[in-house]
Amino acid sequence: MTNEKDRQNEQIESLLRKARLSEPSSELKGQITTETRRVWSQTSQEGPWRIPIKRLVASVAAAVSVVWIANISSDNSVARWQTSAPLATRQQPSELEVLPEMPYGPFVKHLTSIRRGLPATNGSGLRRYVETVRKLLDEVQQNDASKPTAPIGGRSRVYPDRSRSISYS
Amino acid sequence: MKRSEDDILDENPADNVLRAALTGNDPAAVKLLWDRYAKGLLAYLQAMLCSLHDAEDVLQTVFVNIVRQRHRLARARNLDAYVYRIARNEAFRLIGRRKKNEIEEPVKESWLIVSESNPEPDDLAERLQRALEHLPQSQREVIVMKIYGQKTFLDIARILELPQNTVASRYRYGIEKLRILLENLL
Repeated sequence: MTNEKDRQNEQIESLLRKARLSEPSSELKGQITTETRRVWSQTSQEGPWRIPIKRLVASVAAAVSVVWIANISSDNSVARWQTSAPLATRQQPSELEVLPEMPYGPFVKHLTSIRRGLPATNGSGLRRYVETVRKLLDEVQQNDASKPTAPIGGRSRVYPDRSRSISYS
Repeated sequence: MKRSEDDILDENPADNVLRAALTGNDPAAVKLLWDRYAKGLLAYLQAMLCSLHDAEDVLQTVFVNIVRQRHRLARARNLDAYVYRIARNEAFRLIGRRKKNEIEEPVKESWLIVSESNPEPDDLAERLQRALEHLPQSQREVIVMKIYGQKTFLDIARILELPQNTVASRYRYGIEKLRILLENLL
């Protein structure tokens, strides 16, 4: 079977060899060589040293255009968030004393006033500062402890006596 | 990978003569290029395009491109592969234009010839041509280079920059298909 196939393949090869392909005619040769020589003489005026320079110029131009396109596309993509007037601005408080509604507001104010009076790099000053802060914290804790606890939402925190509860059994 | 000039110049003398002419901007290189490549390239282009007329047109473009890229060609690792790559690219460009209907489909013309002295049926060339046109282009180019270009598998593998086994199997598959298509001629 394989031999038969091989024999037939050989026959195909010999059949193909009975034909041939057209070769270039002398007319075609004349036409192409004339055109090729013309191009040769045109391009030979520019020396081979120009090729790297051309490449360099092309690379620079490509790099510039890529950066330019990236800038434009970046501007376009953020344009939708850029309105004519800013919607909101962030205000930096100039003084810590004006901080509104800050938890432990008086404590923080006092802390900043003490801190201003102390040189930050001085060791003894820093120790004094820490002690003062500790005293302040103790006072705050004592104040919190002495205040009576208010019932949350007006409800009593006293739990009902379970022994008095009615049994449904 | 770029090779040093010493590596390039250790190849066959014909390559070195052509490289020297190309590097030295010697117009005699045009004749060297023609003598070396014209016949093989025209056969290859006919196999790619299935048209003598289109193959001749593309051949001119290929030679012009070779001359324009002569400095690069002179430094190429494999001269033949470089030249055939140019031809292949140009052929594909034409095929692409055909597909986009930018140019007309080739007129059905005979690009295979059977010599008149051959005692074969009149329509042998036409049948062979039609059968070859049914093959995938990758198989057809290998068969044409082997049968009509009289190149070895090694030569074809170097030109197409493919493994030799791939070339051989493409040839074998192509011949198998031709055997089925031309069964009635056997």
